[in-house]
Amino acid sequence: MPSEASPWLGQDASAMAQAVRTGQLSASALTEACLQHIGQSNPQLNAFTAVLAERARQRARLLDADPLLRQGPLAGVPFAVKNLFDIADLPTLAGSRIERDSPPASADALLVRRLEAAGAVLVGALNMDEYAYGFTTENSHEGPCRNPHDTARIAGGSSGGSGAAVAGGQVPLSLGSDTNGSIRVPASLCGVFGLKPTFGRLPRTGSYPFVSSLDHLGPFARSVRDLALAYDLMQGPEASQRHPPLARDPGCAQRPLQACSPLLAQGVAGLRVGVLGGWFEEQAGAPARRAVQQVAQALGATTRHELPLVEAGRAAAFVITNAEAASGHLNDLRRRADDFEPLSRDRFLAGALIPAAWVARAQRVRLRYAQAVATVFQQVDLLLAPATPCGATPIGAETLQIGERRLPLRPSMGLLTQPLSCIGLPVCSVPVWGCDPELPHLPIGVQLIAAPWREDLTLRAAAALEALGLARAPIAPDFLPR
Amino acid sequence: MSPDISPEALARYVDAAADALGLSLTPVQRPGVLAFFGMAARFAAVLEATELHPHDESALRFEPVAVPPAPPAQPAGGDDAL
Repeated sequence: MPSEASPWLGQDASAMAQAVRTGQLSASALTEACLQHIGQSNPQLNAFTAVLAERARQRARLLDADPLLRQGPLAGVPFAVKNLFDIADLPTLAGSRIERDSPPASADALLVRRLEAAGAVLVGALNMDEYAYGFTTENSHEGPCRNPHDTARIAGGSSGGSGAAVAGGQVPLSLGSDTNGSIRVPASLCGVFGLKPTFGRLPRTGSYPFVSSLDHLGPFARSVRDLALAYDLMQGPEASQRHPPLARDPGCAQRPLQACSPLLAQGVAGLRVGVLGGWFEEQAGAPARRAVQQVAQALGATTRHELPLVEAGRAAAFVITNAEAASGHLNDLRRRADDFEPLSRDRFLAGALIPAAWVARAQRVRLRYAQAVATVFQQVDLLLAPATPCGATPIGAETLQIGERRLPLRPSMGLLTQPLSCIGLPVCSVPVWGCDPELPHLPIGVQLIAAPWREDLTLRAAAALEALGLARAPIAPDFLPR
Repeated sequence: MSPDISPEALARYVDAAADALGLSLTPVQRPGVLAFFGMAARFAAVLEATELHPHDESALRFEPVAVPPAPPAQPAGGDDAL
């Protein structure tokens, strides 16, 4: 039976929180409606790998009983996280079978704690590619995550559950990780907003590492204001002077909060916006290029740029990822290789054999590439590129087509994201629709890219595109909460 | 390792390195491992073709540690809990 709170699930997180703060809606009613929708939709989507019904109900009751807690900016808002985030009392699976044998986490990940401190309610853990090594979330242990806009197609990966849960209206907000594109790819294919902040911005404490040199965490949402709000609430240095000191992420720059939410209405007036050519056009299909053209026109992009050393940058990302990812699993590769995801096992094994000289050189090329790209940002404030070469492909597909070229799908879905995360640039992926006449129901993402530490510019542009109606993230019609 | 290394030499390297590391590649795994290692070798060739100067540094940076770290897992209710 539909709950009275069900219609609220169609709103964004900011509207839900406002309703809870003003007493229009109780956190408990919202939580029940959310759990009910997850129960109804998850058999089709397979976005959730764990639903935390009792924990969420307890948390909602706590909020309802305490007027102070209820004043939080995310009061009562249900959210879910990729299952590589620690959740107290659950083993942190990171998409694997192997970690099912691990002891449960003794505490929540830091970013989970930060969102709950703002009043949000964690309702579950989400499907992903094993150990985050993939772009499709065709997880053999859990089953494939399905795209809410076409359940015969992939949700993208590796944070596929995070994209699908938001697009399927299961939660208005989710968290994922992005090492080579794992936030931006599913955001593109599922038609939601995704933010990969600057490398080192958000602390990764309490999340399972994939490639520490390249891992980022970030949010997914159906509105830009939610994306900015969640991002703002997760920013800030980790406390370090407690006794005993808290564990800290050595990869986090521990920068102070630079709030973006108050800046969203500033628009893009005065910003120099350019389109990325070269690699970013050559590796994109016609619908992806069309999406960029539409966004470029809307933002008044007047210049075209190429990233120097971009192919070397992608090569560096590949080698670093392959070697570093494998090194973390060497013992399991020796003892139980066949317990790994069949789709990534051989890639892990190959990575374990990479010579140190290749990895050392890759890290030097990476810095050289970052320095070269910094010169581009002296001429432009914001760059545009497709997030994926194409829209969502059928589950089980082995190749994708770009023009006349047929490429292996699983490594190629990140062709356009990998060169940007390699050097830690902040990127917001915005969903654009109707660019593929053969698949008009499917979205494709456009990356809004800024210089390091300028997430504010990417979010301002995203908000401008949302206000124009060009970028939008509706719940998939078949999964509208009833 | 040369960028134009032959497939046969790559296969010999893979078998020898796997053996040395205690990774026993099964007949099912070996073709995939060779394919992925070949892909990594092609990317390594791109890296080798990229000009670097002796003073080009690594993107990795070490920060000396003055305070010993805490155990990796903390009890719930830390700084960022309600």
